Amino acid sequence: MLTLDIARRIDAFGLRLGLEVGDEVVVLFGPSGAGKSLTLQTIAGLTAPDDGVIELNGRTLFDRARRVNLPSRLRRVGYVFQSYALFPHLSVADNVGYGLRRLAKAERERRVAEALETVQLLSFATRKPGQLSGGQQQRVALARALATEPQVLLLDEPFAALDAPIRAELRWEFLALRRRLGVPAIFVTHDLEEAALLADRLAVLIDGELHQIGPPREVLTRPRDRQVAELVQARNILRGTLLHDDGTWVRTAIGMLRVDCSRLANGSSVDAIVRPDTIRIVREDRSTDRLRDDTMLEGVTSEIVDYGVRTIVHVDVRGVTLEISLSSTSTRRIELQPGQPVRLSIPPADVHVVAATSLPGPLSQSWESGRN
Amino acid sequence: MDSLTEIDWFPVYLSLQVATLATLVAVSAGIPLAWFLARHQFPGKRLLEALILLPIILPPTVLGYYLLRAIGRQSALGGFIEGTLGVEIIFTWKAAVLASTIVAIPLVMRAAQSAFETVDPTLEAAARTLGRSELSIFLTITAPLAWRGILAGTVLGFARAMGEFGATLMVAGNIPGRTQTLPIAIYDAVQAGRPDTANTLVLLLSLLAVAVLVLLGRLSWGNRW
Repeated sequence: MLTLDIARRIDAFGLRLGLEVGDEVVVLFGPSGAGKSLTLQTIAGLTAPDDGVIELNGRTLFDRARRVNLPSRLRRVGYVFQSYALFPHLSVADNVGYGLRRLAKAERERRVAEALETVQLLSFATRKPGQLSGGQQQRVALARALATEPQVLLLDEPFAALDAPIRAELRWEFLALRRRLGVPAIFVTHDLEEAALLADRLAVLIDGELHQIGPPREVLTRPRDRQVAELVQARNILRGTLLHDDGTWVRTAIGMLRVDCSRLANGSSVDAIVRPDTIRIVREDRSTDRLRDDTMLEGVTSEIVDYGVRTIVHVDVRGVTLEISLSSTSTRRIELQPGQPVRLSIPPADVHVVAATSLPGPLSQSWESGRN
Repeated sequence: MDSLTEIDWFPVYLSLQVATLATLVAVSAGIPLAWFLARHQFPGKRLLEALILLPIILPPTVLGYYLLRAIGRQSALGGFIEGTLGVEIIFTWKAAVLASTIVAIPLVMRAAQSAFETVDPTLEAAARTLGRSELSIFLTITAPLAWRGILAGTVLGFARAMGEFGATLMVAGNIPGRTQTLPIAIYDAVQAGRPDTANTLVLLLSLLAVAVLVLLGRLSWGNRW
């Protein structure tokens, strides 16, 4: 179990983060400069926070009040860098064995072989890192971190420097590996697909503040505010006013949207978030009886982009462009053309309503309440 | 006409000893300093760097004058060293070592600092997370990756120490058999009209310079591990 509650200020930027990580993969997701890497460096002891506490399995790694700041080498963290950070003058085996110097030779060799086996690179043991591809180098770096049997694994955008096909391959390898880790892992990325794939819990960090943490599905479908919604590519975010009047509605630029929302008061300023895959295009010949609870909208298609698996359709509704994501099979059924009038339906349950935040508006209450 | 056997070889041995000692001191001081400057940012860093590089720019006589003022018998430091510690420096071979060290340090440090700066600090960070101490990281990662630059600086520093003339003459003097180094012996031979001695010693120093340049060329050949 890793717990941290830290604050760090660098010029105008401030990082304040509280986090508990069990035997799971927490993905730290957010834009560049949000403080993701800084968080990992702080846990590893490569830089110190200004204030706070970091504990790992009951050991205090950092505690400002008690003046504890354990050096990196004693923290037992495994760190995987975006740039691999392999030692270029050492062989693959010596790289993996670098953290095992205290072990007897035989035991060290056994552990090195075991770690290289895990990443399927045993046959490359005598090569130098420069003779390996980027993907292989990063697998060596992962083996090197795992060989020391760390108590927490920190991965700083490990696949970001790789080509897309290799990146996809390594993601799946890591996914398979993570079940066997048995230690807390924090994985930093700004790639949404990677975040959703690998996370047990997804933590959204924006401008040094934790905006939301939860299972990926929850964060993707129920983002807590507009900024999170934008980051998880909810695409259709409509500012409006909440009305409780014969059902619940949000008055927006594209009309009245029927929603399910009892939490917020009548007249609240809200953002209605509609994911592209929840909007349906209804064929003219289709009866709308089954959809009578849905919001029905009239619009005209503009862009239609076929990505193979999915098709992205832009529909203009009263001057606002809505993005709709359809499976390619349903696209073929509908036979859409650009400039074609279409009817849209949006189920109320799929409209996620959050209180409008003035931008930029981080929600820092979680950190504040976490302190008490 | 004097033959090879009549040439006094003492200045050659003295210069080799003085340059070797000066290089050792310059390396001991220059490498830690270079590492520190390569890895740390602090106010006044540029000024400190400029001060260390000053002996490259300053005329050797100016340098010699500063040294005389610093360790001469009349100075507080010189008086303390000679009066209290009982060690004579001025006009001994030790002063020659001091002068050579001062001119060798900037060359060693400059080359070593550049070499350290090319070593990615992420490698050292990785080594830290793998449980190694700072000294162990320096010896196993930083130094092996920077050795070419460090060695190049050391060779340059040694060559410069061998050739040191002006400051040495001012603080160590020209005492044959005691403080007369190779470059001073050349000057002396020319002044005294012994061209064969001058020719031989000049050839010796020139060969050393060529050897140094060849070695430096090989060192900067490439970074192959």
